[in-house]
Amino acid sequence: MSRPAPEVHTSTWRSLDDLPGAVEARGLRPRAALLPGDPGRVDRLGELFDGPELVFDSTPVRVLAARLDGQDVVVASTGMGGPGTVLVTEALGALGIALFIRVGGAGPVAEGVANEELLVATAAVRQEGTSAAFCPAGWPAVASPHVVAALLDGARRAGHAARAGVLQTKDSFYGEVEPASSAVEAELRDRWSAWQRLGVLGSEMEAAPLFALAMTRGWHAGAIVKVNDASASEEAKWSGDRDLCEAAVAGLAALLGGAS
Amino acid sequence: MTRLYHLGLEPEDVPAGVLLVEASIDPAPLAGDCHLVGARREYRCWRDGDVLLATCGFGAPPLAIAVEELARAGARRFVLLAPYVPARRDREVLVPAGAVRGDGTSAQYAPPEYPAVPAFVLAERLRAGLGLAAERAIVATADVPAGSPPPPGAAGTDRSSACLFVVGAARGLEAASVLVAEPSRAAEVVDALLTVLREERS
Repeated sequence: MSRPAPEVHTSTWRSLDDLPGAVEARGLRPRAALLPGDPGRVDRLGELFDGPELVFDSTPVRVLAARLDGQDVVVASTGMGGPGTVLVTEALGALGIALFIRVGGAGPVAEGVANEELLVATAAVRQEGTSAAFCPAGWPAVASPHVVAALLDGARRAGHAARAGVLQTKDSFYGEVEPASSAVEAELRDRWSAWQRLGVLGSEMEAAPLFALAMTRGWHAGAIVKVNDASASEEAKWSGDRDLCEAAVAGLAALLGGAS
Repeated sequence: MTRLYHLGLEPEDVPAGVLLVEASIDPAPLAGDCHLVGARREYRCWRDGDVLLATCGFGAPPLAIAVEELARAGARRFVLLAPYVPARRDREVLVPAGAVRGDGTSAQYAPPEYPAVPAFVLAERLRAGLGLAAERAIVATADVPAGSPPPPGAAGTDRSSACLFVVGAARGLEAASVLVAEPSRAAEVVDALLTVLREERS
């Protein structure tokens, strides 16, 4: 059977403690990071940079160093969920990186959100456990406004439509796609209905912890996601992915001051 | 049944017993020469006879996805091998009798009052196999353990046990965790865990 989705076979385990040193050993001084969840998306993003170089690869953390308009950047996968996102972002923050952009997938929430649509997060619903380590309950997980603007502008420059709005971050993938299987089905459906009525655009698993962490550390953060229909196959998930990657890289270029 | 959505495994590659290995532990010494049957996202999976050894990423969210998808393919017994920060330095290996639900994932499976406990018999067998005395040790699970001081009396902190126990209960599975203070020494306990996983359910 063919397997068109990217596979990661070459990973050799290393401690995340080694990640900053692995980047510094190349003499690199990256200013920004793109953060996909899936290591398979790292190479897809890397294709859009000059001279991408694999500097760290320990499942699920795959890190490419690259140049964008003459500046060092990294593309680093976090794995799924808040705990991994925080671990990887903290490790990259130790390098002095202070700009983080999540690039990933999301399920549709509000009526009218279409499959393969690009969404730029302005903020995220904190229906997850990780952000509580950084912010009190009720504190909003908000993206950096200039990152939101740059991602919208990047999408437009890359020739792709994108819209801005709130995403929902949750911890349980199957709680979203199969709420009937949960003992707290009524609560999950009640919340989901609220998110729909509030116009939440997409559902994913990393944005709120990233924003909460970035606000705590004084870093800048944003997120751009592509809507995936969860009933589609893992392979179909990659349809339209090029648009997402192009928009993210164009947005990053704008933030680094290299947009033409 | 099609391939598992996130893990990418063929369902026929999934046996009843699964050893889940957290991403902070090097799986290569545990897998040895076993056959790699899948490598997608955070999930690298090896078949070791009638047991599957699978990495499960960092923390509860990707762990829950692994348990859900492997259970759908027929897995019934899950042992998680993960690091923890012990409250007492001399406790290198812990088989918790319960977990504080400080994670976010288990809340999407059960109300907060529901206790996160492992399958009793499985946990007892693991303790016996590891030569540990029976004890009622409670681990405090949190998505960011370093940012969440454990409650008094907790034996330590980890990222995943509470989620594993609650998802296991919600899905009618046998699940338990074995926590090691020093991740680089995980290979020292793996044989005992595989032996327990291979035992027929009595």
